[in-house]
Amino acid sequence: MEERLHPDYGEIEAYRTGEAEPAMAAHISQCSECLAALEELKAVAELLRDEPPLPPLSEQRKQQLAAMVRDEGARVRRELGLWDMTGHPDNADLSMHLRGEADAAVAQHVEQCEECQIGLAEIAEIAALLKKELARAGGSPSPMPEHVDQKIRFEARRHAARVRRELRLAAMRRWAIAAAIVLSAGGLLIWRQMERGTPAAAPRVDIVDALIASYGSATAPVGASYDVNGDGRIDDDDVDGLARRAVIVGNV
Amino acid sequence: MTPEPRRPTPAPRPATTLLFALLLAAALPLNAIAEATATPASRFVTVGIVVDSGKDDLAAYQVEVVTTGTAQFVGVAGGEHPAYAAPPYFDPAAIRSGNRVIVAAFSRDTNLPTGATKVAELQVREVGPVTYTARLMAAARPDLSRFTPTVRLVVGGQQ
Repeated sequence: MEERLHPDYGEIEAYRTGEAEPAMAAHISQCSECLAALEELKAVAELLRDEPPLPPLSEQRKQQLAAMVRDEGARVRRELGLWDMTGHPDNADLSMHLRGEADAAVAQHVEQCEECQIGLAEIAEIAALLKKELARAGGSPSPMPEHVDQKIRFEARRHAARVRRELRLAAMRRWAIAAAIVLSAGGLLIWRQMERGTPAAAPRVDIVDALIASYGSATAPVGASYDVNGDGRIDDDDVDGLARRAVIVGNV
Repeated sequence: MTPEPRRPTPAPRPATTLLFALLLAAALPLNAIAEATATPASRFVTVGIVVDSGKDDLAAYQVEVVTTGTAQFVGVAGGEHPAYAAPPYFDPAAIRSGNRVIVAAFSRDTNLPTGATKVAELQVREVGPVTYTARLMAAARPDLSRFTPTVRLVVGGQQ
C-alpha cells in the first residue's frame, strides 16, 4: 500500500484560508494528522490575529531568526533520535556547543574532530562579528515572540515528521524491490520447470515384462514400456534393461 | 532361437571369500587379531530361495528377500534346476548397502521346473541372530500368464 506524503505547513495554511487545491483539501479533511496540524495552525493564527504586521526585517534579524530556526531544528532532531554520530554535527549543533548547550555526544565529537573544530572557530568568529554589529545597532536582540517560537517549533516538528516518513518510505521501497526480485526469480524458476515438464517416471516393470519382451515385437508391444533404449524395436538390450530395472530396490 | 539374456557376473564364492579372509588374518598383527576376536563372531550362511509352482511350469519369478539383524549379502548364485542354474538378476547396489534384495530370472527353455524348486541362493554373512523373510513379487507360466506360486527360504549350509 502506498503511503501518501502529508501536505506541508504552507499547504495546510492554504487549506485554512480556503485556498487549497481540491485534492489537497480532500486529503487534509480526511487525515487526522493533518487536521491536528490544522488545529495547531489555527491556534497560531489566533495568536497572530491581534498582532500588527511585522515590519521589514533587517539582514541581521533574518540571520538571527535563521540561526534560531536551525537551533530549534537541531534540538528536535536530537529529541527524535535523528542525529547520527556517524556524521558531523551541523552548524546549529556547533552553535549550541559554542554556547555550552550541546549534548555531551556533540562535545565529545567536536573535541576529537579537527574538521569540526575549524567549523567551530568559524562560527565563533561569525558570532563575534554579529554580536559586535548588534551592539552597534542598538542592543541585544529582543526575545523571540511566543507566536513565532510556537510557529518555529511547529514547523520543525513537521519537518522531522516528513523526514521520518521519507526514510520509512525509502525502506519500504527497498523491501518491495527485494521482494519483487525474489518473487520474480521464484516465478521464473517455476515457469522454467513447467516449461520443461515433469520427467516421465520410469514405468514399473517386473521380470514377467522382461520375459514378454524376450519374445520380441511379435509378442511385446513396441512402446515406451518395453522399448527401454528407445530405438523403436524390442531386442535383447531392452530385455536386459527391463530385467535390470525390475530388480532395482525401490523401483517396484 | 533367442539367446539367453545376459546375466550379472556371479559374485565370489564363499570359499574364495573365506580363503581371502584367512590370508588377511595371517597378515594381521597379533593385536588386530585380538580386537577381531573381541567382536561377535560372524558366520557365512546360504539362503536358498525355493519357489513352489505346483503343477505349473515356472517360466519367470521375482522374489524380494529382507533381513533383520546384522547381515550382509555377499553373493547371489543360481539354483538347482538347469533352467535357473545361472545367477539371477539382482541389484548390486542393494547387495552392497542394504538388508533387502530383489532377485529375478526367466527362462524360455522347454524344460522348466515344476513343484518346489530352489531357483537361487543367497550367500550371507551374519553377525548375531538374523531372520529372513521372502515375498513373491511376480511369476509367470510359459504362456506368459501370471500366477502366484508359493515361496520359502531355506537357511543353512553354514560355512
